[in-house]
Amino acid sequence: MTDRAGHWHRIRLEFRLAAAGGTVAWVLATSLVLAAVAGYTGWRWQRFRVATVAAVGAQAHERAGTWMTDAERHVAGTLDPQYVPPDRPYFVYAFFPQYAIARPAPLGGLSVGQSDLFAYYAEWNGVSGNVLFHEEEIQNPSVLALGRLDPAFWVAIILPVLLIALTHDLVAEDRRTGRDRLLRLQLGSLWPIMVLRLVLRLACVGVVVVAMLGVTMAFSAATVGALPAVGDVVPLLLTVGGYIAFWGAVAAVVNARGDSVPRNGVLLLAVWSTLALLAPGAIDGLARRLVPIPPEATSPTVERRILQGITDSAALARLARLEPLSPPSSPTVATERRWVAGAEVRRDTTETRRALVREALRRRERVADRLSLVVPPLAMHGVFSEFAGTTGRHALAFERAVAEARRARGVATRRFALDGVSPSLADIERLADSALLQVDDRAGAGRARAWTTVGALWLLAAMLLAASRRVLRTG
Amino acid sequence: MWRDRRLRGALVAILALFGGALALGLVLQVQAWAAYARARTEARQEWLGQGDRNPHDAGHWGTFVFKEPHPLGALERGASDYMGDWVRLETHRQNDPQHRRAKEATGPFRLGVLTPMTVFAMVLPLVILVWTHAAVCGEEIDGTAALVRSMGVPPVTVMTGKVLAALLLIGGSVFAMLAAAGGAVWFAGARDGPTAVAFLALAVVVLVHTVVFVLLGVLVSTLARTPRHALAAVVPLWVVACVLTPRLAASVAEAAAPAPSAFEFREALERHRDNKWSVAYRARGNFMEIYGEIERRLMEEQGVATADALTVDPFGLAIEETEEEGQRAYEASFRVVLERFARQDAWQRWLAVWTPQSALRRMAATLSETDLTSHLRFVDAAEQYRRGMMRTLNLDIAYHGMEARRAAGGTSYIREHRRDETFWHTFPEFTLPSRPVAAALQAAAPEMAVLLTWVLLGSLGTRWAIRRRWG
Repeated sequence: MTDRAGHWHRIRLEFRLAAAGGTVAWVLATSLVLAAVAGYTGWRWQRFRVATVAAVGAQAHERAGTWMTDAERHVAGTLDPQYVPPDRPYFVYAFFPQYAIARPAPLGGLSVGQSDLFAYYAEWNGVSGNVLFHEEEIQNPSVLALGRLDPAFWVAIILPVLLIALTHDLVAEDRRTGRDRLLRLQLGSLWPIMVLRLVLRLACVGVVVVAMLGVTMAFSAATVGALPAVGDVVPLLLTVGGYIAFWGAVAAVVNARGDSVPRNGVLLLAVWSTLALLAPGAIDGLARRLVPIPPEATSPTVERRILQGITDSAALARLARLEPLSPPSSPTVATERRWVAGAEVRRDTTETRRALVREALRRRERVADRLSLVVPPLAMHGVFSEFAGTTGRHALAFERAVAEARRARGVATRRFALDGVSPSLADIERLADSALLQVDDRAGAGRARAWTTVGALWLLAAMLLAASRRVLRTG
Repeated sequence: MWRDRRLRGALVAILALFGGALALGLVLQVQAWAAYARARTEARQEWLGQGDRNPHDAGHWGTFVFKEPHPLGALERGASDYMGDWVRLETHRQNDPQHRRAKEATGPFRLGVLTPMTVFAMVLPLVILVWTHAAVCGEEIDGTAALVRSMGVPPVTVMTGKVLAALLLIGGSVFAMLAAAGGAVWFAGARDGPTAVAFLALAVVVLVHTVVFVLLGVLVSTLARTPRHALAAVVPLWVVACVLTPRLAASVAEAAAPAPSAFEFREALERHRDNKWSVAYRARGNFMEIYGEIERRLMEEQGVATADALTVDPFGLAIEETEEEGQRAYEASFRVVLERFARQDAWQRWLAVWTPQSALRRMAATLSETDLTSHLRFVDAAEQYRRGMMRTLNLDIAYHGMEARRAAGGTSYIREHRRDETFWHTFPEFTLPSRPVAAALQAAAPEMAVLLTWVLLGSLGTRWAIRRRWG
């Protein structure tokens, strides 16, 4: 009982000592202000995307209605023939617009990630080329280059600086003034007092971080109109906990060795600058080096040369091998067949080339993810982006889904063009039902990555804490 | 100062870091140059070798124009990774620049990229501030200051000596790094006058930026009671100036002047086009309406009874009319975007006043032509080139199309009139003249004024602080 009372007394004393310095209050106030700015920035981007996606959905609905009306008039023979030429009856089917949207995730407000670079909605029809690349968001390049102060950046990059401000002076001042001998006499070792001080300081920041994340998640989820899954929130919070513990453990190692407050601060700052400022560029460079993309794969002139080599007749022959064709009913149908076959084979060729680039980019991301596991700021940032659904991989998954849908649409369209037949109203109704494709590929990879990161961070923290204890003993 | 082992270690680390960043920048720049030269040649050959073709088909076939990398891009990448390297030129459409290199990067790329200018703008200030934080208050505590003052040396002279010593040591390292950068750019093949002038201007700016941080470090050290307090001040100062403010500026600028979404842009474009081209499958019908109107007007003007007797092909004029209509629509839509970008830029510029680092990065981007203005200059030049090209193609159809039609005895308005390589040669190759260095310097003048103001304030502040402290 006496021991317990003594512990509580010690905790209260240390808490008062920490609060009396003013640093804790200053750090917490700064945290709150920055958290508010970061939360607002993330939520603003989330709201922007939700509004855009809603507008795209509304347009898809409206245009589907217009097209259905035209289709009905076409079938009834009352549509102006200049819109659907009699020799091309499939036009009414071919040009029916389809849309795809990548719905922002409920936790989308946590990180802007790569979502400001890639398309998150697309529009296409049965004969359009690769339209996806024209749907990138309009963003000021200088804003993109600077990046945004979103919650992910705040937690992954700025938070450690605030933690360093709180934890660089755990026992160094005691050593300088000789109080450490008194503490050793009382407690047998500096370890308990150092850990107590560390935990108290980290807990203060932890409360602010969790509160800020809670508010951001609530706003973000309300904007989307869907609650985040518990299976997402729990690993996310554990990762943040592990991240704070990691920086606490780094501070413990530095404090265990250091006997000068400024030197501790500079050392911790050096660790932070290396991990948070220099490592990202190095990892990106390494990932690019390990998974190169040959320039020919993205060269527009090379692509055109390849496409130019595909003649309509050769394309038709290729299609005929896949799907036996009856003799054309008229010269118009024969011409149309060649044109449609050429367009389809060219579209497939472009998509195949793009799929190779996509695969390389996906491998690059995977390499960077693995390397990031040993660079906690990057791992933390990556987990935020995963749950926000804003990584490059999410964008590539969306692109792949659109490519598959476009391919399916092309196959459906060519049936009418090759046979020169007019689509029925039922065909167009079926198309109208699938006018809006909602791609929602979120949680799986994010959770797996988060749990791996949780394990890595807590393991690193535990190892560093054990090291600091050993250093204190031997010191 | 040179006896400080930690400083020597830090400078060696910076030099190594700078060497790595420079090597990386040069490799990327050389690759970009090779890719640009190859792509440009291929695009030209493709245009010339497109074979016999109707001019309107050639307009649809179009061509590509590429942005030439600036030699100083090896030192500062600015926003170039986010802008797109080439534009496809074709009839009816003003396409956005494509191939934004950042799209091939991984997630960590968005947290920072290592360039020589990153070392100057972020790492070096940290070293300067950490190193100078004890310059005055530290000497006061260990008694050195009292010794110097007892010798009757005026405080301002002591301060000047400290600043000059720091500048000599750090400035020497900066000078060495700049010399290495200059040499590397020179040996990489950029030996023209404008590049040399731009590099010299950049070097001056980097040195001024270094002076600012030396003065700030000494100022804080003079104001602080102890080195511990000084360190507690300079670290947040650096974090705010070099890490936080640039992102904060971007977030504030975007919130203050939000750009329209791509969806809104396309919608506005279609509205400006009066919906004539808004729905792809109606395009053919709408074009035929315009064609019919022009055909009737020409028949009236030329007093002929049938379209076959016309001397001007209505198709060429109709295409040109729709082309001009499209240009007006694009101009109106882009005007909104560019106005927002300009306001965002103004916000960022205003916020840059508060941090020397932002001023340095903005100036470096301007001088290395990796800033937004340079990009918009490329986009505008590409569009003007496209308009000229399409007009020539359309008017060729208008004034030579009828002869071909009649010669072929056909009624189709497009297939008979064809042109060959001789005609394609009449289109000059796209070139974008470099921005005059004077214009670049003029554009960067406000940032230079910001840096010089910082130097002035730093000098005055240090003088005031030392007098206040040592009387």
